[in-house]
Amino acid sequence: MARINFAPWLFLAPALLICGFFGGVPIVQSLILSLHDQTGIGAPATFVGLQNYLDLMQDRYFQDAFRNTLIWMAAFVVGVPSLATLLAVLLNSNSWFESLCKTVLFLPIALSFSVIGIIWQWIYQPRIGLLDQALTTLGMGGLVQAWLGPDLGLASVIIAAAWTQTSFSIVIVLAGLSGISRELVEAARVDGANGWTMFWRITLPLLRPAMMIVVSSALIAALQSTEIVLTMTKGGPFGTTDVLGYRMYIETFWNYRFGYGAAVGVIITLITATFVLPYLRRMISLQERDLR
Amino acid sequence: MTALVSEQQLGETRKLKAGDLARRFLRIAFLLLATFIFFVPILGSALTAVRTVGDILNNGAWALPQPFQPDNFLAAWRGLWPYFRASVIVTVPSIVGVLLIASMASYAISRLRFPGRLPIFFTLIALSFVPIQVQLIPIFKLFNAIGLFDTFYALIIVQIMRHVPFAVLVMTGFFNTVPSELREAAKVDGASEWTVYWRIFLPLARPALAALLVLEFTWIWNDLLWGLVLAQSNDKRPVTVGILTFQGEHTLSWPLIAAGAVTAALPTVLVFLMFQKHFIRGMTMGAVKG
Amino acid sequence: MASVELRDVRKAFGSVEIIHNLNLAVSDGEFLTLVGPSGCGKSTLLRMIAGLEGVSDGDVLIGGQRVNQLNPRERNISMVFQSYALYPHMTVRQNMNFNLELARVPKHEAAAKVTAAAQLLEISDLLDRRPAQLSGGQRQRVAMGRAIVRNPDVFLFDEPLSNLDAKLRVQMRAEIKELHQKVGTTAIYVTHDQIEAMTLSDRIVVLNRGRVEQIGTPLELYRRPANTFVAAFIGSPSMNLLDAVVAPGRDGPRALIDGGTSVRLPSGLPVTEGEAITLGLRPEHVVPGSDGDVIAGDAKLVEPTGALTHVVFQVGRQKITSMVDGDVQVKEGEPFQAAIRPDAVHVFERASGSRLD
Repeated sequence: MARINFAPWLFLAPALLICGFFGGVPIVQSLILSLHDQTGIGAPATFVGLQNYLDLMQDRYFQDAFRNTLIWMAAFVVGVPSLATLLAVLLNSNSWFESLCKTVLFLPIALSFSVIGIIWQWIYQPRIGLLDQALTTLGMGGLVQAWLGPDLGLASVIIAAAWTQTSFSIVIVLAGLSGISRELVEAARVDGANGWTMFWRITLPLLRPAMMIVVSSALIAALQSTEIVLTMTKGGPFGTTDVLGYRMYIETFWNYRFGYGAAVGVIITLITATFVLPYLRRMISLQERDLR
Repeated sequence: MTALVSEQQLGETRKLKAGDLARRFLRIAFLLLATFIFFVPILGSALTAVRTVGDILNNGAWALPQPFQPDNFLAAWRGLWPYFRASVIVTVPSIVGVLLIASMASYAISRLRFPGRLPIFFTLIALSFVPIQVQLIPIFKLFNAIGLFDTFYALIIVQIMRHVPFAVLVMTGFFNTVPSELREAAKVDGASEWTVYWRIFLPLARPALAALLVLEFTWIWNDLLWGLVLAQSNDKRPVTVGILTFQGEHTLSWPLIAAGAVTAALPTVLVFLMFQKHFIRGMTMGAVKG
Repeated sequence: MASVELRDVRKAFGSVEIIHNLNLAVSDGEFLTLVGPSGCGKSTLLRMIAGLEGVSDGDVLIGGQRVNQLNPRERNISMVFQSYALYPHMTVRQNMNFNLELARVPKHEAAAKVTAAAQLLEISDLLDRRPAQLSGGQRQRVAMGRAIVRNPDVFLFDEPLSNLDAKLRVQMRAEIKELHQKVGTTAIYVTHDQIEAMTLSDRIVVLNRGRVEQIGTPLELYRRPANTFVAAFIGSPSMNLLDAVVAPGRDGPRALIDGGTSVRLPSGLPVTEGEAITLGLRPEHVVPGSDGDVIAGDAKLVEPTGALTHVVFQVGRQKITSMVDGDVQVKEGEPFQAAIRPDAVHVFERASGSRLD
């Protein structure tokens, strides 16, 4: 009796077609491809079951990349949210000084990883680079290091990546702070809270939604980091700055091991899923409330 | 008695004020330091961009330019402009596509009732978290197979695919705030569903669209990996890839490379500086909510 | 202009039935009000007539034509919404012109219609403003102007005055009535405010839980409420509804209320001795000093409103509200007595709540 309403589907069609066909289907294809051995784009694919995954476990390059990615994630999840929260709390005002600081602090968000990579390569450039020169000029020549060498390379790259990730996070935390009602803060002050108590007992708990975004996006950024490694170090020296995303790129587009590369991609996706899902679930329940 | 109390209070306020002052000073000092540290990389690169190699080798990386060499930018522009052209050709249609496709889908999700509404919405949201690494290979193979590899179409399709989900999240959130009576009033006025969307909801969504426009411009313009994988010939490669090629062509000529980096960064930096408010509103609309 | 008819209309959302088998006929040019408490289904009913909501069962007829499958535009109705629903990004002129434009009315003709409607509603000088620059009353007028320009068969109003402050509401109420008298278009008006319903309507439909409790002119509803629900809903302050038992009396059957007080019942009622009834006494009919049966008790609450004072007094276990002249001095806690004439007494069956007579 009821007519089928086509309108919703016509509105959704472009999004569903593009996102489904070019976004969703490839996930399944990658999964299938990861169970095959295929070297070169036109080469025949032979089914090998989980062999690619088993090989990865034994692969020293993969192990290094995996370890480096874990270090990256740990550094990001500890460093970025705390630095961003500290700066955001200090910046939470709209006078000209804070506004100016914000503009400068947000600027890295506008930069591509190509540009970020080049800037930080120049910073870390041995001897003549911005960092070594600054240290020498300030009379701290003893601190000059091989910043992108085997010992410090990973840390240096992570710091370069943290530069823009922190910028992004400050924006999110500030948005969270502006969402805290003034009345609530005043009520807490009337109750006798100030300084530390205010921060730990009122501000931080109320920042939970924002912190969740900051933490999960830091994890995602660390886990999927590829471009900054590609522009700065190409994983070197000796794989000391190699990461999963870069491994996937190299195995696929340099070594043409499509099945192998796909397996790395699948692994990245699975790890992403483990910490994105709780966040996603929360977001979904919020949206459900809005959409009912 | 009352006088005593008020005197005590007065003392406390005064003490508090002194503490406040110290705290305020520390806060400003810390902010200045942090801001400076965040700015130094950009400052250093901009400085390097107007110097010569000899000047840097002789006077160090932090000396003032001697001579001032703005010609580096001319050289950089000459090397980079084909890539700029490609970036524009990819970015502009991608943004239009993202805004149009996402706002249409969001209108349906927010305003229309149909089976599978919520699952479809949540699947779209979930897609925005899918790592690029699990999509790269099949898409690379697909575009090779259908002959779209190394074309602008490939990049435009992929950019739209990657950015529609986030835009849907933002737009759905915005449309949810539009009173439902507006749609009903329009229906009573004789509007079709498309007219309601096009004539009422889309014009009302201008603030959200502006925010998304700035955000998507930055993100799409700055994409590196897809450009690297899906474009091969120089006239198809976006400036993010082009600047790396440029760097490779001028190894160790840091002033030229820095000028290139500054040039490459200029469009997004300018847009960001001009529309910072939109930019931040867009990020917060999609992210922090409830 | 057209008549509107609902035949055996039902509406269910999933397994929840909102409207139960409802029949209603609105004649051409009539001003009919749907009134009832929130959740009674009045807005749903209006939206079903508008075509914004489908019917689960039954037929909607406008001008004698079945319109179930037609969209709002095709039904040629227009609607004024509670929030006015003016398009915020359009000027008043564009708001009023929108439906003409969509109907492809030639430009000069549309402009003339907008001008005429604006003159009628006295909003000619607001035509180039946007809704955000208008006051509540002005928005209300624009919403009516938008409804009127296209010369619809039926006007639908969905609680159009509930967003206005009390004073403006009274003024706009009068303007709506005046407008209807000028254009004479069939109007269906939804409200939860019985005073609005009383003052505006030719006829009122009282709805409760998706069913019609009573249809009638305002005075019919006031004078002869069909049941206790309508009795309590129409009139302010609400009618006193008292539990009573029929007892014999010298001059016919009386209703015995708590505490030994009794009032004479209107003659000719089909009641039997000992029957449980509900007695309905309007506060404005329970007045001191008049002739009739005396009801006495203690004043519990005295609320002066100026011209009149509401006195709530206790008789046995029941409370009765009386409306007395504002000059009469009544003190809380002191004895109070009023009287009611038998012809002002309403009698309802206790179990079903239906009127007895």
